[in-house]
Amino acid sequence: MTVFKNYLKIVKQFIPTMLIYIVIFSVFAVLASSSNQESTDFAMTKPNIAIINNDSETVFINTILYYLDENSNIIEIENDINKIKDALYYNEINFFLEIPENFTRDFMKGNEPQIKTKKIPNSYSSIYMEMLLNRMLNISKVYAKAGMTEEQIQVSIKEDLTQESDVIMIDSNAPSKIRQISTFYNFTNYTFLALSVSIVAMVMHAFTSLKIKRRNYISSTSIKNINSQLFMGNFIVISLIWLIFAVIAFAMYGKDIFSTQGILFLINSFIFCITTLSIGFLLGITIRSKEAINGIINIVALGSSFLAGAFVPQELLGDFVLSIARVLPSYWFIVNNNIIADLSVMSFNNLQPIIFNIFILVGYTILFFVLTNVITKLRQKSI
Amino acid sequence: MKNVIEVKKITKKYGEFKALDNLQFNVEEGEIVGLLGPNGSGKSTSINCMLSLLKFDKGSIKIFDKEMTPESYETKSKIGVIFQDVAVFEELKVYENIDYFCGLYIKDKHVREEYVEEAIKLVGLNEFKNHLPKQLSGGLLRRLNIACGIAHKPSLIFLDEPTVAVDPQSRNNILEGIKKLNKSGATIIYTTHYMEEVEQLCDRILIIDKGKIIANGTKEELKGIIDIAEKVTVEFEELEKDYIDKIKKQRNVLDIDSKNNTFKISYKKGKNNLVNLINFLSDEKIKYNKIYSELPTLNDVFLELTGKELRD
Repeated sequence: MTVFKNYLKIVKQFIPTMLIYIVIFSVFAVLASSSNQESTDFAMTKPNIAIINNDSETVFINTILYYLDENSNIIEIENDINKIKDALYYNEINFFLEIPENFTRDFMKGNEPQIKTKKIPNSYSSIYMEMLLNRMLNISKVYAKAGMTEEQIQVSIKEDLTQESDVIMIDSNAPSKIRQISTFYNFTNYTFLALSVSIVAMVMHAFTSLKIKRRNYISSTSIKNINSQLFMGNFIVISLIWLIFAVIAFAMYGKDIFSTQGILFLINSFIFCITTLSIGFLLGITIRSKEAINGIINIVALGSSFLAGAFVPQELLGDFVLSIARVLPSYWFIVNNNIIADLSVMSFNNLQPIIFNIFILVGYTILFFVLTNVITKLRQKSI
Repeated sequence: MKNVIEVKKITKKYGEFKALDNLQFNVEEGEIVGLLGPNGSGKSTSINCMLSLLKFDKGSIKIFDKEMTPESYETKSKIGVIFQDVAVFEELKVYENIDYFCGLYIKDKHVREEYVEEAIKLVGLNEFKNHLPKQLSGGLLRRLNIACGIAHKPSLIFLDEPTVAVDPQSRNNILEGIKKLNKSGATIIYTTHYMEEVEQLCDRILIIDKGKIIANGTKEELKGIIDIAEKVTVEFEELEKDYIDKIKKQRNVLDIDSKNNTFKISYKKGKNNLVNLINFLSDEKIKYNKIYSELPTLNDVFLELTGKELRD
């Protein structure tokens, strides 16, 4: 077991790196999953606006002011263009409008008098206010064209404002903890890749560098024996990393990790860990420079985490990004986490896509091992 | 003496190029055999074939009376190899490195501990047991490389230029170590570019060129097969061309090689070559600063046989 023992000795040197990764990413995972908790309090906010009215106080002007007052906070401001600009700049107001003289008369006649507005560029509040104002004026225009008087328009607008709509969140019924576990495991995509791949790749690189390989090859221990000891080392290290994250998940989410969905998360992540082992194997054996390995690991871990939706939910990623991500094992791991989180009923039909995605991960693992084997065989000719 | 290595008519081709061309030689038990050859002559290829690291096209190799194959684990257990490039784990300490490579041969932990300690002592790395390779100088690294190759006490050792880029102290240490290994019964195949090492160490020398053994014998035997028997070096103050021709016509002179005012005169076998030259210079009243005579070196043998300097 010399090879195995020395494998572990080399792995020991990665313990500080491992701890740093575990601590940092546990913190990130906690933050990310806690931001995914159901919000219990909702506070509606209104944008701050300022109005200068150069028209007389007509019923229609009062209607506009009433409508705006219902949807925003009207701030008193001096009629000075510089002060208005300052107020917008310092976010004291989000929107400013100036009603021109004879606005009511022209509007009711069917003309299109313009209300001057100023807003904060790219501000949602400003855009929202502009939208509300346009909507109100468009409705009023329709009423006016229909022959309504200013008073009738006022009544109708007030009535419209009392109408309320029911808002239904079309989202899964997943309990919040399961969602958090899903976010946690999506985050582990990066950690598993960065940590497992780098440990396996670096140790394999050490053992399979041409010089060491020649020494191993001429020894009286068979290559088969050496390889099986290396595989055992890799398997134990990967299992240990997986176990550490399972324990962290247990510490964070308690017994939910042993629910059916929790166990599915564990199985999915274990299969993904084996895939990362095969990636580490491939990189460690085929890439001959440690620096290059580190560079590639960073690209692979960060790149696939961003593309596959480990950090940002897949729903927020564009179709193009997701179509690229489909070639990455991370994508299928994360898709599976999301499906598991959305599972409401355990049935074979519901489990089928999960099993299918696990087969894809297993397929990737086999592919990487075969690729490594082919490259090793080709290189063996040049020992 | 029993043959430890029997190489019979080995041919190894890379396309049309013959790296080894009917190579044939034996190595007897307890010998230190120097394998000399210019770069690309086939030294490394022949070692790689003997170690089963390379397949060859024709011929056979027997080590310890057994056909050598990649699966000859019993034979391999008696072989130690020190490659030219330092092959150790950067991540493991000196002791751990030696223990690892020894562990590939010796399974018993106690025996291994004893062997590792002995190897450390042999190469003089006692003070550096707990150092990482990156903390060692080039010479110490070479010593570690050797310790990793011989810790399991092999009875046949291949050393491929183990003293390249090594400081004199480490080189002496390494050479002493090799002698000790040989005294303890190990047969040694040694390749190097340093003639003085070959002369100092080897019982027998094989000169290989273009994949063939072109000379095989002790250093004295090899020196005996070339025409040069003596070389006289003279540093003149000034020498006219006519005199060079006169010297060339003297008895036993084979060749004259000049660089500035220093002339190297090669003589074939014969007596009083130096005395004859001194007498000639006195008679002709030719002034010279210094004059000395040398016996031919292995480099001369090498040069005459291969047409190349050993370091080419």
